[in-house]
Amino acid sequence: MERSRRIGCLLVEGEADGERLWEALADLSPAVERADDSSGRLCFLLEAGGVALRYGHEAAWGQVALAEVTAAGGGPARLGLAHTRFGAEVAARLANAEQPCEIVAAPEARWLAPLPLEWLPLPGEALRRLRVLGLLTMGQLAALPQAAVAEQFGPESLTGWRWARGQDDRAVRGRRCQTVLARQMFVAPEARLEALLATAQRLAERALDDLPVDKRAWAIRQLGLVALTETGAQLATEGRLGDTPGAETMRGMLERLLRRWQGQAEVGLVELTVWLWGLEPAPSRQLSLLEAQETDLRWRQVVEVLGRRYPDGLLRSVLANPDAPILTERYALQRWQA
Amino acid sequence: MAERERKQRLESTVAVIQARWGTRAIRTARDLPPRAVTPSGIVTLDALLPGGGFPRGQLSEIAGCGTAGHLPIAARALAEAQRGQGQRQGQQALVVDAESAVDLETLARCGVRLDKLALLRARGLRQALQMASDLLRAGFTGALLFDRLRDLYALADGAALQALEQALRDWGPLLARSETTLLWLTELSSPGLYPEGLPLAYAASVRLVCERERWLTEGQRVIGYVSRVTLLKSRGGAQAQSVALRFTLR
Repeated sequence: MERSRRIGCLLVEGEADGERLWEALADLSPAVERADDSSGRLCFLLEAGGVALRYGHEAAWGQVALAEVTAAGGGPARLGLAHTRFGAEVAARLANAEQPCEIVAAPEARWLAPLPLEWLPLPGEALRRLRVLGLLTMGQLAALPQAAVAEQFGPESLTGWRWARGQDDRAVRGRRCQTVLARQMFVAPEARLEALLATAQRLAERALDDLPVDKRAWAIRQLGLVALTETGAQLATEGRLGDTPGAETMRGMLERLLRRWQGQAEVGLVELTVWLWGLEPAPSRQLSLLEAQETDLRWRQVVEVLGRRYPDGLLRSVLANPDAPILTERYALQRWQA
Repeated sequence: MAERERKQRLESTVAVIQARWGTRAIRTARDLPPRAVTPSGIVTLDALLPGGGFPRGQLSEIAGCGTAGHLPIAARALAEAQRGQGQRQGQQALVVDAESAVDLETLARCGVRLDKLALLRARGLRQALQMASDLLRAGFTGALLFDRLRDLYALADGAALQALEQALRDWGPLLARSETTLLWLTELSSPGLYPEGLPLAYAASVRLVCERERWLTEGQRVIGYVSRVTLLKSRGGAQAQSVALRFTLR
């Protein structure tokens, strides 16, 4: 069955301003994700479902996207369009100067079938075993049953097997900007830094709580303060946060911003507003920028705590003997260290 | 009039609380986000389970006697948790192995990535419960499988039973906060014979019982089996429904 999902992958050569390109591409797709590859090229993934309806056909949309890259100061670009993320990335890598836009219309598994296995994320040992067995293309791997792949080449090979069958269900994680704010009025003019800092921190937490979706799905990029002094003057300042502002980062940034006012505001403040500028998940899609990092961080904490309490209690299986014919002999249990 | 006044008073109270603690501090049940699940990885079983999988933040029990499919079901759910799907991120999977008898081969065959799997090796039930409690308190988020315990029938020992009851009481809020999917495998000595007095039946949100119906053979060789999986309990979903699942041993 032909799948309606379409994803575009745009590879841009040379030095270019990634943010500017992202802004330009955001007009062409409901979700644009930046996923730079290891070769140093800029890589953008674009949600492309339904573009044929708007632009007449997909190739026309591809030409517009390539033109946008040039207009935004990007170098030579290649575009791949397919049903899955992996398919789009492969198509973009196959596109060339003569044909910069590679569109995969056929069922993806069939299109991927003749391509070499090296393009799949397979462990080295699995790749070697496949070669020994005379399996060299994605189609040959895709034809194997799932249990056989897991048993013979290890369960870590199943991702590659799925992708070779055109079953890569990773979505494009787009982003849009939105601001949330929280405000407080002081009963008496307030000039003490500690009091202002405590208020600003509480307001930032409240603003974060007021995000319309689960706050872990957001990446807060900027934080700002607006204040009204007792003389009626308005003060404003802002700073840039990383993707994962923990409580300490947030507090440090608020303190820096408040200190900027110390010279100007000898008078007390009567109103303080904290605003956060974040990235909103695209409609019906969940951004997980914070969640992924938070999970990793939590896991490190768990390993540390359990490692202290039960030194030999937490184990992991490691690939000890890659040549062992039986799967359980290939792995050995080892202490999991932080 | 009294009704209107009561409504106004309620609205003003809500407004005061929201102004002080944020709009998320108080809200109607309608505004609550839907409960997240970890899919079982088996489409027909997901159709049976409330929300399409094992609930995150709650305990699910899968019971069965030898070769009834309860371990493959749990293993596939672990694999699904590790893998993530679409917008859902992959999670950490962990097996509590109180009897040093974890079946890594079945786990691997069901798609669990052994290189990313953590094992918590305990000496007996009481230490396993303590370790799981510490794990949840330390902030673990992911999928946690409590592997089969053969001494569940020895729970007549009051202290062990008390420890289990206490652990189940402690885990409720910890699980809910961490959104961890806790799967508990209960090994039955024979079909339909559930360990007497085991408090899991009360604590679990979802209970599945697996019973092997027949072996699948190819000539003289056994190549698998068909199990009937019955949903005994599900908070917020259908109950007493069953599905026949086919498991191959190759």
